[in-house]
Amino acid sequence: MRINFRLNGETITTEIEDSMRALDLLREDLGLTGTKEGCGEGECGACTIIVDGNAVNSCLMLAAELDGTSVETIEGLTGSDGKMHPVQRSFIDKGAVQCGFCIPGMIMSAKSLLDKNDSPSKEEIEAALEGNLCRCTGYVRIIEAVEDAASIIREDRK
Amino acid sequence: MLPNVKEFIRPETVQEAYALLEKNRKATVLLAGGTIVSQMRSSNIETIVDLRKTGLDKIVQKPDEIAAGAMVTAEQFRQDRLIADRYGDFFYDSFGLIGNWQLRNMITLGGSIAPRLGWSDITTCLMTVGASLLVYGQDDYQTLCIGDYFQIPSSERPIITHIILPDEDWRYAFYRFARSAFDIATLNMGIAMKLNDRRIVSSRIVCGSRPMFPARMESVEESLVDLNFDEQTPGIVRSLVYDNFSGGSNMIASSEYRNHLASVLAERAVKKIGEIIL
Amino acid sequence: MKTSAPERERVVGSKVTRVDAVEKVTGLAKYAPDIYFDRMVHCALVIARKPHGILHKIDASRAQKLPGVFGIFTYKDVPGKNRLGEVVDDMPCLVAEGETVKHYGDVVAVVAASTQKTAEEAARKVRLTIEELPAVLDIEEARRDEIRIHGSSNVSVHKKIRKGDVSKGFSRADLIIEDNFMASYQEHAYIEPQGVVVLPDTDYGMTVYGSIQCPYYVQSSLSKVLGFPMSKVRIIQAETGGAFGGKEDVPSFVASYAAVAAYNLKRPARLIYPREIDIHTTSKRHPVKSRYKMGFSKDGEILAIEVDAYMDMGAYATLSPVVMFRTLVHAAGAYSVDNVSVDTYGVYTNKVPPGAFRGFGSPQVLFAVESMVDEASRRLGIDPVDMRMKNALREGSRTSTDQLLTESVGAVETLDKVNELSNWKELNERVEAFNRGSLFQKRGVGLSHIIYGVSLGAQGQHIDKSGAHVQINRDGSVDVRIGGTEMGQGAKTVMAIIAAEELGQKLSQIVVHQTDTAFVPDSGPTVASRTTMFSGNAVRIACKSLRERLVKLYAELNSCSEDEVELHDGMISCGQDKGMPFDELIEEAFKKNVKMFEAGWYQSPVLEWDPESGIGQAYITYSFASQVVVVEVDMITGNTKVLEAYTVHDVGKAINPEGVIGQIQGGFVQGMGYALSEDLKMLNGRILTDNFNTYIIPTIRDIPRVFKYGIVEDEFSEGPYGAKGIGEPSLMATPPAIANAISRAIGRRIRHIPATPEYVLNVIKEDAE
Repeated sequence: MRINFRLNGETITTEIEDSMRALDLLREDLGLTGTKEGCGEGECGACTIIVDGNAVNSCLMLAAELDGTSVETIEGLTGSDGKMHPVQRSFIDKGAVQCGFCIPGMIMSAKSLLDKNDSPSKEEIEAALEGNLCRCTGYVRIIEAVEDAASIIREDRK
Repeated sequence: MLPNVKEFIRPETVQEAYALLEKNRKATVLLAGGTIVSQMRSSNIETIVDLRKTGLDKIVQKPDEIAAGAMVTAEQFRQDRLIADRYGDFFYDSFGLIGNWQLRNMITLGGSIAPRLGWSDITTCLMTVGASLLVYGQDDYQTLCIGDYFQIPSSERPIITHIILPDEDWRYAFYRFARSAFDIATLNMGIAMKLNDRRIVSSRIVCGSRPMFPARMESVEESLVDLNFDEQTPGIVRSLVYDNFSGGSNMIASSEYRNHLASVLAERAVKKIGEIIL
Repeated sequence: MKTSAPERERVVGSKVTRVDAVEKVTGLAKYAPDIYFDRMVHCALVIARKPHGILHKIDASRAQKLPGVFGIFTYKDVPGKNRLGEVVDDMPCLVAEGETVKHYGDVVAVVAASTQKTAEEAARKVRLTIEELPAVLDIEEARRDEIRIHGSSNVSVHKKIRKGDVSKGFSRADLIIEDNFMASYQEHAYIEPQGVVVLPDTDYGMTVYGSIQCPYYVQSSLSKVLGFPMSKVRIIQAETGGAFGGKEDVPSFVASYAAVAAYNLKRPARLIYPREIDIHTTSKRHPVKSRYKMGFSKDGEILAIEVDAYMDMGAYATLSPVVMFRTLVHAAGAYSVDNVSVDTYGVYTNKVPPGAFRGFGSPQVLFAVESMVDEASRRLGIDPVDMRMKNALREGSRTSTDQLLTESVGAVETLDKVNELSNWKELNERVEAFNRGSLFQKRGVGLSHIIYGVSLGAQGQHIDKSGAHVQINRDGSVDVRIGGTEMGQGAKTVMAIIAAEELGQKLSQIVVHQTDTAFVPDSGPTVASRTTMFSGNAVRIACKSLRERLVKLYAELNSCSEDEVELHDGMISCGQDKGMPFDELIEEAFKKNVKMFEAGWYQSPVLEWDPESGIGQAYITYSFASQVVVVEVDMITGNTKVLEAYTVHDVGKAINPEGVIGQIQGGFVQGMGYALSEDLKMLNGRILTDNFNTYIIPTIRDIPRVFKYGIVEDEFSEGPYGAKGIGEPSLMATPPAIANAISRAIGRRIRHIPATPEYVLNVIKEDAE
């Protein structure tokens, strides 16, 4: 079938297999391999993308369900000028990255949170990221990175 | 996943969706959010019927009830104003314990009930508030309680279109026990009480993730009728639930531990209700 | 020659940005599943789904008919030797017809198809006829030897330590404690599953890109399975999404399966494990059942220790014999004890073979020995910190293998520091006060003190070496290639720091490449917390030679003394001259044909070891750690929440303090999962908890609210700048600290990890009845 959707600000029209997952459309057909697969059943969050403003697991979504939506992936966070999103910058600055495999998903969840709430409490950060498993960092610096990004975003808005 | 799918259809009415389902039930799946995708493993599936465009994604106030569309997501329901006005923090807090943020953005009310998942906290919570189902099938629309819906053989089972939440002035509490923040519940327990002053007029004691499908503990409910709610009540409920529990063992926990948890969570839930009224 | 002028800021020990962070936050980093080639086929495995049985027939006829299937490969299609195994080659690559299946998950065939989906569908359609045999499913059953899995006995490995005379020690003891402990499996749960792409290459051999911890293991394994000389097998490590030991020997198997497909089809073959296949078939932390007997004087001195530990090796030996060496050496803990007797046994069962996992056989026994010491301190009424302090190792002490410690023994300092960091006395008072006011929630403070033998040790010294290749390009950029791998722990950043420190080039101009067997010779495995020390020394040695040449050149050009030349942050200067940018000097070097590349090589100092008595120099040096945790136990449900954690590690020298902190935090949380929630369940040899919905690792909501750490730097003369290792000890202190905290909270001893709520509740109830 044919679907139309917005992907990182661009309009995409593409022919897809009816039963393919959103994750496979992004990775295999569109070559956006920044979105990762860790478990294939919505538990690890490595495949998190933002659809119509909401963080979702792209492994539990069919590509067909993207029709008519607006989708953001990790590749869309860096501007065409190469400027990174504050969440990306903060993950680097706060040392929140180790193996990196969970990081794109983690960043997308954090971005979705900060889009809705630029002053999240620690509890709100934890609630937003509870669906993103990380096995390396122990999460401490991930929380610090999101707090840091929130303060940068608030600063920028002033 | 799904090697044999031949079509993906997005009907615009429930009637159309039902007709598609009737064409070949065994090879058709109704798509209603992430829980359904996670359950899609069968190579028999040839047709996917996506319910997204059927207009079932709204929550509306009716004269004596609230009707929530089957395609309403858990997070949408949790954040909804009508729901908050009606139930206070009950659903905001209880649904906040379910899955994780991404999953709550993806799982729908109907998609959580229909697959008859034993561990569904959503089903337990909805049964706790006395929700019934508005369904569409060969007998047109009808209202059924959640238990009765599954009495209908799967070959004739109608489509869940709305979850009907009655207007009632009860007290609710929900607890779940799990091994980590988004682990599925080892056991969950919802308790609702209708009180006349301190007298227990009626109650609903719903236990799920036993690991079987949530069920009301009717014998416990009957024993509570006309009791006066006081400091003793949590302990009484605890022992009643302990004596009347039926559940099983699986890789997550033994039946004995679940039995114990059921009584503990019931006691905590009743205590919480007590905090509101005492 | 001046190596480091004290007045200028050093790169070593400073706060730097991770060198691979940008690619990882932008999604550009390439992991194995992100690498695609033209004409590439997708593979899926056909596994035996019985714990023990004779494989009579492999029927692939139905699977073969599926459109898109290119081939289904069995033992008949293995071009070389149908054998795998790093230490003992007791494992088939693909189980042959007529042979026995030895565990649920034994690999029988590899399907190659046009898509992943088709490959998996076809794999499901391959029919295996297996005549089931009775299976051996636990250590006790295996020890009875009624059913034998390999050879004459299931108990196939035994290692021992005999130091002093334990019976004498016990006869002098005022208190003797005996107890049994069980540490269950732990799954690595790296977020990126196993994966490789294998392709026929332009050298007429095979190249592998993969999620790999030990490329040289993969190279040697593939060479055997393919029947190729090692020179025709090239391994390039892709970005690796976590490993923790789980990608030590396992990628050799994964790559071998894919290589069989690539070889037969003459096409690139990709094999990415679905999570379930990963959990069913790949290594875990070994279950270890141990019996401890310890004798103490009434003032807390440990007089004797006797240990038997049985380790479940599963169906194949894999790395178990070497894992057991570490179990052996760490079984008596971090203490100076005159009389030690340890026996460790490796036992075959019909289950998935465990292997390497952060701590490598030591966390299981450290949990036990620290529980014993905690119990003694409780019974003797001695403060837990004082108890450890009394027995701690110091310079001049001898370890359980009678190794004399001459330097870098930071043990006591970690205890002092954790005492201070946690505010120990006050913390205990605070917890006691809480408990007086709370009936159903009880808190407990737990302490642990651990030792970690750095690198491979006496039984691995024949492979304990590392190479490096450093090349300065004409534009001044620097290529650093090492034999160790980056798998998240931060190896690249440490190597870049060392190169920047020695060469004086800016950190941003140093590129540490993905590990590639074509550039650096066999450097041993990236395990045993040895990379900073071994690859680090190799890089440092190579850079020092290059530096000498640059200093000489600059001195010649500027007619100054070599002794006065300084290289720092991209500038070279001499005395008070205005200096020269690094890249300009390199341009000069190129014009003068100065050799601008160098190989570095570092090998383990020779260790004297007697395997018969278990006496000698077990490891080149030791890291130490002390940890305090506070838990709260719900006495009604048995649920435990970790509230506070304080941890102090002696790392010799923190070359990259940011990386050290990351290891400390991550290791703690992984250890916490092992101690509490990671409960691998099996039924008849089949793992039931085969994804993250049932195998529960800690989430962001489960971490302690208070998390403080301290670093002790008791430098080790052989280590680069004094560094030892941190990768593994970061996890090892946690399980005993948590178990002791729960034990203190509930007033009863925890003897099993994971201490799940159900287990803890049973312990609370058992004693009550």
